[in-house]
Amino acid sequence: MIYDDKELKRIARNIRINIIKMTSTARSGHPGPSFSIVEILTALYFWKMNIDEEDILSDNRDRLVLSKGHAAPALYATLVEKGVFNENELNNFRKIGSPFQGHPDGKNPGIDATTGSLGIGLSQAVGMALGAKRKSANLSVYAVIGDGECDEGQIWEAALFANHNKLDNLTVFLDHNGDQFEGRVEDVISLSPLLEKWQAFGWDVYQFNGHDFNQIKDFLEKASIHNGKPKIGIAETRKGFGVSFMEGNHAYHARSLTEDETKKALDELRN
Amino acid sequence: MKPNLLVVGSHAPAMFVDVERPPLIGETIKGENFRDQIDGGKGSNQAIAAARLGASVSFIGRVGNDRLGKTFTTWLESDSVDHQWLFIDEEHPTGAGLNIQTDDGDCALITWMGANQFLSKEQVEAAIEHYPSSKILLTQFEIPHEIALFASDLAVRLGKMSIVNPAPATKLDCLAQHQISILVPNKIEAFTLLGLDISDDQDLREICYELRDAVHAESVIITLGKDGSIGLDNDGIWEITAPQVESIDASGAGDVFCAAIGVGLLDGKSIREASKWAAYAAALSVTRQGTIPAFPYRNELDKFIKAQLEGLNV
Amino acid sequence: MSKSNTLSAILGERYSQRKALGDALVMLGEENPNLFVLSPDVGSSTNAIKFQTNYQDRYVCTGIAEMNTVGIAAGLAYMDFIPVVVGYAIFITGKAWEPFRNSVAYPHLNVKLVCTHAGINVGPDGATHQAIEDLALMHSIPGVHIFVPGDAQQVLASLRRALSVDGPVYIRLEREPIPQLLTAKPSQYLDDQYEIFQKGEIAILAIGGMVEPAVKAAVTLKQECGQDIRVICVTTLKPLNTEKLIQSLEGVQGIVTAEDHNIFGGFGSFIAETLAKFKPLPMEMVGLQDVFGCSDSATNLKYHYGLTSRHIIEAVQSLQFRIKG
Repeated sequence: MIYDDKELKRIARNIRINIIKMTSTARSGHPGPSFSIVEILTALYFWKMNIDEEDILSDNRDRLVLSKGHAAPALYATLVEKGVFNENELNNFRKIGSPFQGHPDGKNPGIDATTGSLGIGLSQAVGMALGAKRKSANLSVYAVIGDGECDEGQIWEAALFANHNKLDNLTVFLDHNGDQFEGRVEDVISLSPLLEKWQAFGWDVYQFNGHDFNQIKDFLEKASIHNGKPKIGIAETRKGFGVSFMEGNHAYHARSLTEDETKKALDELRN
Repeated sequence: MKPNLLVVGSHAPAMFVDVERPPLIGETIKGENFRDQIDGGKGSNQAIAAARLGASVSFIGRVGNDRLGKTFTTWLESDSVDHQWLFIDEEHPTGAGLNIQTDDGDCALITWMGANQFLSKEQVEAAIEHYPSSKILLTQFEIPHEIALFASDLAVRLGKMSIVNPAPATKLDCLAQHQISILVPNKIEAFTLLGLDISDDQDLREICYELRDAVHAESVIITLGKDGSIGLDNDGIWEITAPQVESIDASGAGDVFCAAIGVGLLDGKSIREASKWAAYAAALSVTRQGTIPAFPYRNELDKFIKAQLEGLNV
Repeated sequence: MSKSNTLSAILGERYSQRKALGDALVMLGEENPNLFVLSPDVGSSTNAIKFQTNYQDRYVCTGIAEMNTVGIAAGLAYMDFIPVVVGYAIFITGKAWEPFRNSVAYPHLNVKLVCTHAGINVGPDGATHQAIEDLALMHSIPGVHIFVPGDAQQVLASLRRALSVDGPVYIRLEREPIPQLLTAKPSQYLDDQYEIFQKGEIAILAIGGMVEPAVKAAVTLKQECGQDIRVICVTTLKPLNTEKLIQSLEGVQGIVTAEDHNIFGGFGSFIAETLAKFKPLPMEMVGLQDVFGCSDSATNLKYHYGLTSRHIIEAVQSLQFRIKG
């Protein structure tokens, strides 16, 4: 099924609605950082990735590793939209036995890797890309990493390896929302010059507006060229993007919305 | 109580005859005491054994519209086994068998499957899906093995544990493609499944590993008659010695063992604990004459185990 | 029978577990087309590099990056390979502990860690390279099997058994060559324990390279004091086969454990935890007494840190004294 931009925007809005619903029901979670990657996940699951919700464990499917695992609500809401999980599961976010654990749990079909501990996801994506190459499997591996996450050394271990092993079936989104737990990224540990760092590690680097579907699609098209280099898209994003009072508001990094805030947010998203 | 243990299996009641020793091919030997006996074939045996041990059982199978089929429903009813999924075949007769009993209390079996062969996947699927709260599925190869394995696959997919007693066994290359929770062959069946000639030199621990790999079962238990059993799960090997008893009639002991594994698991026992418990159940049944009449009731088994343990402490 | 006769019936020639590892990987690579070996730059030392010669497509040198190595192993497991990470115990279990715990153990992936250079027998490289906490680190993670083969011939059996386990496994190997245990020959698959001497009221439970001094201690005590001492080589530390162990300890009054590892959180500790519940017995633990190692030859270090047969004998006698009151 081919989705046009209008459809993609509608899906993105639904995803945001469900992120609010699930985090507010659980009274726990990271709505802000989840919001910043909604367009990215929408484009991946509804425009780019080779995934069949009827055959979710197919060997040849594309893989997505959400290395910034605390944005799990975005992934879960996207998978509900895609039909991989039932809508009812949104009520069970962060509950015993739920496939929607606090951070992605790869034991559940539909979720490709266990993440949450920052820094461990990209290596797994690299392993999948390596495995695909060695098996001559024609599939793509995608990963979403955070900017704060780039403080972790393991990210750079993975970056070195991916370049050295020419993993051009690996495409990474860096959610550059400029904000981490204890403050702005530039104030905690400055990553600047960010593009140059990834270029120095041998990756093909792109930069674009992470909330603009055209720009995301453009990146994904360029990234699918197999030229011996792994690809990274520095997606310029905003935490909380999509709801006026959440946008850029650090308060919603690790706190769910109050009842009032929930109502306000849902009203805004629905209109 | 809603059925918590499903048996997808055969009904093929046996006729019995006593001999000094089994006949060789081409031989005619004298037998004695030719009789109808209450022995249903592995499927129905295991269903009744499980019911007597305390499970709520539903039997899924196929019989002919004949005397043997009708008698069977009365057996099931007297042990409270649900039989709404016992299909009646208008065309084919109920399966049957001949059980040759030697003086030592050992036995050998010839079976003819009749209506059992026509149990279909659709029928099995409808039956299993009718009991969403059931936890255990027990099946054997006296029905077509594709049907038994289909049942096992479906059960596992639905979150149940499937116990597959691959009897009678042939070498099957397709086993690896199916989902089996626990495979319970006897020694001959274990070797046959692997395509090996039976030999006493083979380390049974290695046979367990090979079988578990070849079949992709979570666990394997090889029953060894009076030598007990040897099992393998993800944690490694365990060996169980059989309780020492005087063997009167071993027919059906393997069926009691399989049934007791299922009931033990229902009780919340681990597979190792269930194997130990099953060993007692099988031991008790061999001290008694007959097949189904020898199958112990739960309270009898509890008493027997208590006596055995006290006997050991003397 | 003289002491040396008895010993030579039990302890064979010294063989390197690391050498056996290289050969075992090649053999298993043939039997298991999904086996994939990862080596964080130490392949020539661990002999993992032998695998590369035969199966280039299923080998990768991941450089000096243990955390990434373990993460890549997880990714490969999701692609239906059976990844075997072969490295040094302190760096794999230490530096990569958390990525292992969160990427592999928590999702229960089918990844095996085979680590050499465990214990102070690492020798001259010194304390930073001597893993004396690896068992504690691995034991405390739920669902990880732990195998410690007692000699080189058990290495292949331990790997085979590891491959038959669906889930994470840690195998601990020595750096130094150790004697073949002639009466503890494994079948193709590693057993949970091997009984070397069955009689006696004191039992020595030993792992890996400490089985040799345990056997020597038992033989000495028999020859010189007429005492029977049981010796059990325990190879499966998790899940510990409690039933089999308790059966083997029928009639035992006290236990000495022997390990090249810190006694806190190590093998002795696991035995104590288990037996405290089912068969509490007085114990002595031979091992590193909560101190770091240092640089010297393995032999000198063992004398210095109390890991020889003489130290085991002292532990046995000390235990006997305590028991008799």
